[in-house]
Amino acid sequence: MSRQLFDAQNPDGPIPGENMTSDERNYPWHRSPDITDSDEAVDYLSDKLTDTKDGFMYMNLLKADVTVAACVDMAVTQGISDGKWTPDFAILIAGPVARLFEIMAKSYKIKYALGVEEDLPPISPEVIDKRLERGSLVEPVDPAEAEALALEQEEMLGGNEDIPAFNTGGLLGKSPMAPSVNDVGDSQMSMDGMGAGVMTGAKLGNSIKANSGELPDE
Amino acid sequence: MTFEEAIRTSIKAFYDGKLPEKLSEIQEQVIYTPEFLDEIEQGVLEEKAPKKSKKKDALEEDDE
Repeated sequence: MSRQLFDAQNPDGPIPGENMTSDERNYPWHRSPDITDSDEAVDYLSDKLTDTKDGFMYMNLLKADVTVAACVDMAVTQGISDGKWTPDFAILIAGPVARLFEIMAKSYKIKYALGVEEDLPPISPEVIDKRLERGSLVEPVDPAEAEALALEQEEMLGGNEDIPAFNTGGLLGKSPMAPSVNDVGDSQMSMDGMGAGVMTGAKLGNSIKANSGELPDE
Repeated sequence: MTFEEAIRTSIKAFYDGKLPEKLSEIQEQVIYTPEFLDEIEQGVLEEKAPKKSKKKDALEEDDE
């Protein structure tokens, strides 16, 4: 019996209103927030950021050119997921928290970007050059060494003669790896959307038998 | 407006010296105002500076 997408006789979905019966305290953000006072929230975050692994991580992010605004976003969103405050409250405390990050960055002498500009400036060639300088450059390859490696690889594979060429006929083109008998494509299979290079096991068996004289040639 | 944009707007407003209007209605007093954080910043940076000079002095004394 084929399975139908919707079986009216045996409905297999949530009953309307079922969500109202589920436990609303499954996640921290489903409960009432722990903190509703902005000063308390800033105190909580300053404790969490001062001389802790989290603080170290955020300072490293600032060093890596992540903006203060992005770090604040991460910190307050973490508070939301921990059930410390609501999303609205997170927006209210974003300002003081940004100042905390700024003070920390200044005290560690980290150059930072605030990231509150309305429109981000377009990427200039200078910015790209700066980024490339910071990242590790790809080491130049010696052409002689590359050639020697290619020859070594060829020897390991037993030379070029036995290696079939890669399929250059596109994704659905005839594959040189697929067995073909008498280089004749199967018209039925072609009509079915399978390429000429595709061969079923039965067809291959028949062809072998025909070649060996067990079956008469078609 | 996305959450990220709201965060940026809030930060910008705070840096311009503006506090959320309704905050004073739900809280009797707000401690972490822009002015208070400016004072903290000054304090932290001044605290750091003499420590370094003390360290330098100590190193110079050791060298002597």
